[in-house]
This record gives sequence, structure tokens and C-alpha cells, in this order.
Amino acid sequence: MLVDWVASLYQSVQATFVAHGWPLWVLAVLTAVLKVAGVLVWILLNVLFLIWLERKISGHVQNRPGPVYTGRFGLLQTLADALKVLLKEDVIPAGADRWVFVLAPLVAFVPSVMIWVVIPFSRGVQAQDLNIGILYVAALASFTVPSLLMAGWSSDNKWSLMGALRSAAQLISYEVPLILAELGVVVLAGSLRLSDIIAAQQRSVWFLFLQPVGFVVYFIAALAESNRTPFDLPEAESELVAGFNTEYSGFRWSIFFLTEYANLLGMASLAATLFLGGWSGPFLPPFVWFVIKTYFFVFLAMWIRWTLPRIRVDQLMDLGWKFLLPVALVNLVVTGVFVVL
Amino acid sequence: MNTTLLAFFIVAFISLVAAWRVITDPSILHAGLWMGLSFVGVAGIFLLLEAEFLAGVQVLVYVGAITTIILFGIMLSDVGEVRVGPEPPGWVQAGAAWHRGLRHAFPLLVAAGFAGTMLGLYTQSGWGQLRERPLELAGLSVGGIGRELFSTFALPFEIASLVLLAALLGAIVLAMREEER
Amino acid sequence: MLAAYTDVVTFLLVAVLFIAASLFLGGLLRPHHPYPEKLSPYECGKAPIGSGQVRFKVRYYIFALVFLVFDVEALFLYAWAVILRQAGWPALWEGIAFVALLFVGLIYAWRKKVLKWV
Repeated sequence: MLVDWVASLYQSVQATFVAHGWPLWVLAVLTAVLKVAGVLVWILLNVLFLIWLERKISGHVQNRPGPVYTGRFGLLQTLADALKVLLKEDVIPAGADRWVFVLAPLVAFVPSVMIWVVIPFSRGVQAQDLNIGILYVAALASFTVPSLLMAGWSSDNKWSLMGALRSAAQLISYEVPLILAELGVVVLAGSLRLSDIIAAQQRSVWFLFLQPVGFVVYFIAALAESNRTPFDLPEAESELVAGFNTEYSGFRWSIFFLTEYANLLGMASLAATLFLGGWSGPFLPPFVWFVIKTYFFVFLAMWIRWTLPRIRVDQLMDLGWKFLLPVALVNLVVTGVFVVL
Repeated sequence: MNTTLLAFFIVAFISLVAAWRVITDPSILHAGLWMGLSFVGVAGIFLLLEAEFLAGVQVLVYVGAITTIILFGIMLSDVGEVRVGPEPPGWVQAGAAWHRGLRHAFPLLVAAGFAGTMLGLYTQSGWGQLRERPLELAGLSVGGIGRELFSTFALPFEIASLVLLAALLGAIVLAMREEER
Repeated sequence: MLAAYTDVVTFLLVAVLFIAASLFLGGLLRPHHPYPEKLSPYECGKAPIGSGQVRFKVRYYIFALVFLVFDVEALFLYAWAVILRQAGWPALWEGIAFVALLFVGLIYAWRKKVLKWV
């Protein structure tokens, strides 16, 4: 309904442009700016909510109430924290490699916004349905490792560098299983486009039921890629102070924090799209289904974080290379046989 | 000037400047990062050629894996910064002149040879005529590449897996030797 | 097709702008009192010893190399996964042979204890 209204508005604006002979690329850039503004608002609102949710869930898991004083149920807590962080001093260590230090959070944050170009929010609500959909997301995710190494190296701090190297080793160990698990879905849908993948699930069933093994591999690998417990070794507070962002402070630090939650949200919505049929579902409006499915994965990730202990580094590597990678390869081949038969 | 051409010049400028900084930046870590930027620029050029799959793959492999390996290598090695020493006295310079001439001529020769080979390939390939007729868009999509790869180029594809296996084994052998030290 | 990527470039530019603007606006509000102790790297309260850019063991590098090989494998499999349904048996066998060869590599690495974290 709203979608149709926006579409007709767009068409009338386009007609105006054509009638006056104004260049159409101006219109394209204007709509793109509106889209990215919408995505930024979506990310920021959700991150504010996610941080509150995480604190509430952790509180209740540990049998305490979590934030309660600021606003109803402490809902305004994150907003207060955001303001506080904005007012904090921005310290750049004297020995830091200034340019790299400043650029590292940017290299981390920008891809986490850019993946939202392809995420389908609802029927026809997607910034651009790129042909290489999933590959686009995977390619953007590969900027994470360089950004962490940049942050760790430029800080001139041993904890930062140790955290960054650990983090990089972990990310590269889980990236291949993650891609292979996504490819299982691609084999079934025969396309890299996210809209085609949703359409394929509407024709058959949710890929969760056709790809149970792939789903488990995807979920574990995605948890590891977003550095969440039990895979939070890179910022293991008890041994590495704060990992790669030890020397970051104030707003510069909060960019990393924002990125972490934006990535969690992106990972959850991609999981919803690939395995739970995205926005499709009966009775409720499509967008509501999208939010429900996304938050299902968000809740699962938070639940796991506050329930399981951190694993050891050798267990981490073994799980990635000796379990997830072979399992993902076999799963992919079996899926291929299943499809061709 | 149309927008595609403008975009090409911007992307080409970024990749060339980045490539130039790879050679000239005294900090080797910065050189590695400039190289990453240059790879991103090349991905942009693939995109302008309407080869989006190649652009995605370029970022995935060259930024995600190659740049990471280079950065790891820099962080594991002991070469922090390439420093240029003080100027040696005149007679040493004169004595080393022809030697240096050779040393400078050799990379130039290699570069010229490479450029010549590439230009030769370019004139042979008939890419020049692509300007006249529209690109076969289907051939550049993922499906098009896949279909070609698994029918016409099936053998090279399998050879690629052998090459990858050889690379893996080679890396393991080298790494084991390094670690024994 | 290129038109679709104007959105990608716009997302990139606006995201950069967003961070730059917030840092700038924050800069108007936040205090700035640097002194040498504050600007020194954090080492649990002690004066830092040596450079922060210490060297690491080669084990990290081995994992990166193995990762590179499997990353390249994965990119071939992207094309394979997309066309498999149409292309049928021949492509399936080619894909299986491709994966099997690299599986051998994985098992070799495993047996040689390269994948063991020490």
C-alpha cells in the first residue's frame, strides 16, 4: 500500500523530470540519497534498540533487571549513552599511525551500511536488486579483516595488535564455511540475487528445511564473523583488555561498537532472507514478517552470547577448519547431487 | 562528457595513484594498504566494463585474502620502514654509476617487455572492435561465465583446481620448514 | 546495470559523510586536554615497554595461505552453484572433481598438523 504510493510518487516525479528535460541521473542520485538516509535511520534506530535489548537479555539471563531508570523499562538508556559518548574526549595516542588510526573505523563501518543495498525489507522494497546479491555481501564483508588489522597496528599498543591478529585469524577461518553454506542456498535457487532466493522459497519451502546442515554451519560461522561469544576471543576482556579497539575512545570507539551491532543486524536479516523466506509469510504484512524473522536470529545470537562460555583458541581453529569446512563442502556437494537428480 | 567516462577517469586515477604510492610510500604497511585501495579501484574498472561478477570476485579475493596475507606478512616480518640512507661521496657515486645504470635499466626492460606483451595481446584479441558493437551482456553475467566454465573451459577449470592444490601443498611445505627454524 | 551501482556509490559516500559529520559535530562539544601520559599506549597502568608493533609467530601466516586457496575455490563454486540446476550432470561431476581435489589438500594439511594451533 505504502509501497504502491511511493512507486506512483516516484513515477510522477520521473514524469516531471522527463517533461522539463532535467537530467535523469539527478533523479537517480536523489532517490539513492533518500534510500541511504532511510537505511541509516533504520540501522541507528535498530542499534539503539539492540543495545538496550542485549542489556535487558543479559540482565535477565543473569537474574537481574538490566537498565530501568532512563525512560520506561530503561528504553532511553542507549540514547543517554550515545550522548555521553559524543561528549567524551577523543584521544589519539602519540605513537599512533594517525591516518591509519583514523581510517580504520571508517573501513569497518562503511561496508556495514553498504550491505543494506541488497537486503529486501518487503515486497519490492530493496534499494537495488543486484545480480550478484550474495557475492556483494561477501565481498563487502571481506573489508573487515583489513580494517581490524589497520586498527590494531596503528594503535601502537600490544593488546590492540594481539587482538587484531587473533580476530583476523578467526575471521578468515570462518569466512570460507560461511560462503560455502550460502552457496548451498544458491544451488537450490540457481541465482545470487536475493529476490530470486526469496521467490524460490515461495515456490517450495523455507530453505531451512532443505538446508538444515547448511543453516547450522551458516549460523555458527556468522556468530564467529560478528565476534560474539562464544567466539569473542579477539576482545576477550579478561586477557586482552579490549582487543583491537583498546586505544580508541569517545565517538571513534563507538563507531566500532555501532558497526558490531549493525553487522549483527545485517547477519540476522541475511539469515532470515536465505533460510526463512525473507519477508514472505501469511496474514501479517511482509515488512512485519521481515522484522520478526530478523529479530528471531538476533534473539538467538544474544541468548547464546549470555549462556555459553568463551571457547579456547585451538578449539576455535579446530571447529572452523576441521569441522565446519569439511561439513560445508560435503553439504554443498550433496545439495548439488540432490538438485541435479 | 558522459558519466561512465567520468567515472572511469576517477576510478583509474584512484587506482593509479594508489599503485604509485605502493612503490613510493616509505612505510611498508602503508604500501600494503595502498595496494588494497588499488585493488578496489581495479574492481571499479571491472564494474564499468559491466562485469559485476568479476568485480565482486576481485574484492573478495584481492581485498579479503591477498591484502590480508600481505598485511600479515608485514606484521610478521621485521621490515618496518624502508629508509633511504645518506648520500655517499662523489667518487663512490661515479664508480657505482654504470652498475646503477644496469640496475635501473633492468626493471625498465622488464616493464617495457611486459607492456609490449600486453599491447600485443590487446591488438590480437580484437577488443578494439568492442567499441563498435554492444557488449554481449549475457556472457559477462555469473550464469554466462558459469556455462562457459563448465562446458568450453572444463579442462582449464580442473587444471585450476590442480594449481590450487599445488599452491596449498607448496604453502604447507614452505611453512613447515619456516616453523622448524 | 551500471545505474544500479549509483546506489552503491551513494551509500558509500553518504556513510563516509555521516561519520565525518558526527565526528565534526562531536568535536565542537567534546573537551580536548592532551598530555603525554594520556597519549601513551595503555599497558594496564604501567609505562609501556618497547614498541607496540611486536612481531608474531608464523602460524597466523599459514592459516592465511590456506584461507587464500579456499577463498579462490569458493569463487569458482559461485559460478558452479548458479548454473548447476540448468547444466546438470556434466557440471556436477566437474564440480565434484574440483571439490574432491581440494579436499585432498585439506586432509593433507590436517595430517601434517598445519591446522593445529600451537
